[in-house]
Amino acid sequence: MSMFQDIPVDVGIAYEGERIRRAEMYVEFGGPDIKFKFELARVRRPEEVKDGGIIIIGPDIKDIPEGSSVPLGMLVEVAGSQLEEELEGIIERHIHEFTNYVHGFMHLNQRYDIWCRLSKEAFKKGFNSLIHLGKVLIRLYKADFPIIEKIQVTFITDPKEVERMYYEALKIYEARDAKARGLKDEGVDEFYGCTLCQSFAPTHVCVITPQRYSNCGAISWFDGRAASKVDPKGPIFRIPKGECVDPMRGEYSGVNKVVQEKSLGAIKRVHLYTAFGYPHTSCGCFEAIVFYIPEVDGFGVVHRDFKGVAVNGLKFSTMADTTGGGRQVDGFHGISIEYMRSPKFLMADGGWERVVWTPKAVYERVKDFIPEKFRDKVATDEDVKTVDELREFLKAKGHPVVDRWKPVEAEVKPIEVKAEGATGVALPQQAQAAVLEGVSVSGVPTTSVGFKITLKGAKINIDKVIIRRSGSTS
Amino acid sequence: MGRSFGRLEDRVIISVAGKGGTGKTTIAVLILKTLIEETSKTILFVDADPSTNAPVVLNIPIKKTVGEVVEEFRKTVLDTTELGVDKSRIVEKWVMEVLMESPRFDLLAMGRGEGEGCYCYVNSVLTSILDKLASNYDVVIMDMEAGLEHISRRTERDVDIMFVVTDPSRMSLETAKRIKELIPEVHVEIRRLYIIGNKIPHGEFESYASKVGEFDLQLIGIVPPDPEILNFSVKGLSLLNIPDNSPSYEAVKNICRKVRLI
Repeated sequence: MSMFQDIPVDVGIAYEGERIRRAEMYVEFGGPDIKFKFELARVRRPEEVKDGGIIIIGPDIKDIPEGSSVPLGMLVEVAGSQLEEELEGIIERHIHEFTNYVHGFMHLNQRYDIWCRLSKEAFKKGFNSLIHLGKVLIRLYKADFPIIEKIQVTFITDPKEVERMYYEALKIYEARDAKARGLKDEGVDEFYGCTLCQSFAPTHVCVITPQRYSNCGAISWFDGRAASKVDPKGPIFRIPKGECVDPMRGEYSGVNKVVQEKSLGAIKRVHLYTAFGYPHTSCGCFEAIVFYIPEVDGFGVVHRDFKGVAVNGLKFSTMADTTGGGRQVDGFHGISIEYMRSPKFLMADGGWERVVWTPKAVYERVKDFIPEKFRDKVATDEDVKTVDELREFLKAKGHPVVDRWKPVEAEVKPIEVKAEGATGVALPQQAQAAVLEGVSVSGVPTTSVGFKITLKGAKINIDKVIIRRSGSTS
Repeated sequence: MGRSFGRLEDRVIISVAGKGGTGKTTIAVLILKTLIEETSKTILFVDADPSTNAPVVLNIPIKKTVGEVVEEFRKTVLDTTELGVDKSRIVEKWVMEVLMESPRFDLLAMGRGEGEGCYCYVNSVLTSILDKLASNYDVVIMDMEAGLEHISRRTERDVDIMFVVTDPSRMSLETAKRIKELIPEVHVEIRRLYIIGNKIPHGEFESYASKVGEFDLQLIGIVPPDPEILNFSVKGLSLLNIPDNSPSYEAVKNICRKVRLI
């Protein structure tokens, strides 16, 4: 690139992914042997940034003995009328990309755990000062981010100074993460989809939003954004959110459209925040299963590592067979543990107000995110073993689901309809109405002839269903 | 490394496969020794066999395997509260950390495969990380497990030469045959496939060659039994230090010459 004529080595995207072997390295910055290291981007006021400035605090490359490992802090400070603090994370991520463009420079990881190496060959060619690295960074930032009006780069190699700033950087990362956790589905224009699991579940499409992690727990909205940018046609892709059709259940026109495409028409609608109706599909990899417990009209959540029998008498593996495969199964819902920390967790079904049981291990991981008024009302495997015990526990604790029991019991008595895919779970009235909507129903006990009723796209409200054997009296 | 970076056509990927017990790791390490002594190429040695024998044969104590990194990633990073980090970069750094670096070659032990749960994400990340890493070396030698699963799972790169190691047993030849038959089913190309007959006593070379022919396989060379190999193994010495005039090393060097690796 001609913009790097004064840099002693080549600079270009071709060198991204270059590794410097220990035998070929001149110096190592950070890495496993060095405790204090970091990189940080800050948005500053214009008067705080000297445009094009490169500051080195501590020894420069040429002052460092060959073959040694030293601490390094990299601080990129930018200013611009349209720059906001929210962009710091994105700008910081580019330090990795841009420094890797330098032929003979390796950069791994991020934040407080960076690992860089400079090759002997680059040093021999004259890359003997961090000034060169600073120039490359400044030029690439300006080329890629026109909104950056001023930029200065500081390299810190002085061990004491790196240590001091390291602790400051940690606080900034923490504050940034806290803000990220506060990001809401309403606050973004696009979600991300993932079809990595389609080899197991061909109709499964994970919809990853700021408030709904991927089912496997591996991919946050931020990971989705990063992956889709690197490889837009890859298995992790953008989903323009479109119009919000139903804020409570979490239905978005853009999600419906993309999921329909990517599931090859198998899934037409998705409600992100519910376990009923059009729940998010489940692959095979979910970290946990939300399962409906009809006897108490509440949800249990069991995770993959739970080897015992859940409160409903079923093992994780048994329920996983019912849940997975890329289908929309009422009352069985694959989720990540992280989603349990989200305010959108089963929002349409009442959220934590409806959760009655989870293994102690899960409870411990998420308890800080359970609304305080329900926190001591959720039973664990240590509290109860059976549904009967659960019922007593919930009554004793005054769990909100208890209020739902009486009216439901009175109305529902004669119903005995089985929904396909719900594996014989008798659902209470409200939930059943949701099941019937757009879902085929079979196994309805009818005449001795026996036939299958399929209801498509029908909306049914049932006050009372009476089924009698044909020919019987009264 | 700058010498070769970006020049794809010069890079060679060698994989050594075969039935367990035929001496895959021994042959792979002797190929490594040949390349170290006869060339100036940079080499990545990948122990892709879950039993992780190569570090023992090379006498390089490993810190961790890639499989262990994957497990650790799933146990710790997935529950991270750091929302703003790019997880693939963490895996990349951890893989670099388990890479055992020595002056002439680097060693990466893959370790055992997956436990329960979802590996889709970490596997997809890992494939690209390993391919990126491999592209930094002139030569990659992969010590494979018996099947071809690893090729499908962990790399998108074509294999230039696959050596299938066989021994006097008929079973080892049947395994070799099955490997050959599986090749069209894996998604990467395997350009050349050769049989190396290992531990074949002198005097039986010709009859062995015709037996290999019966299986419709191409024999590239024979390695005689070598007491020195056992001796090194018993003493726990690196097989790289086996004397240059050992018959096994000379045989492997010859094979490398035949396929133009040196």
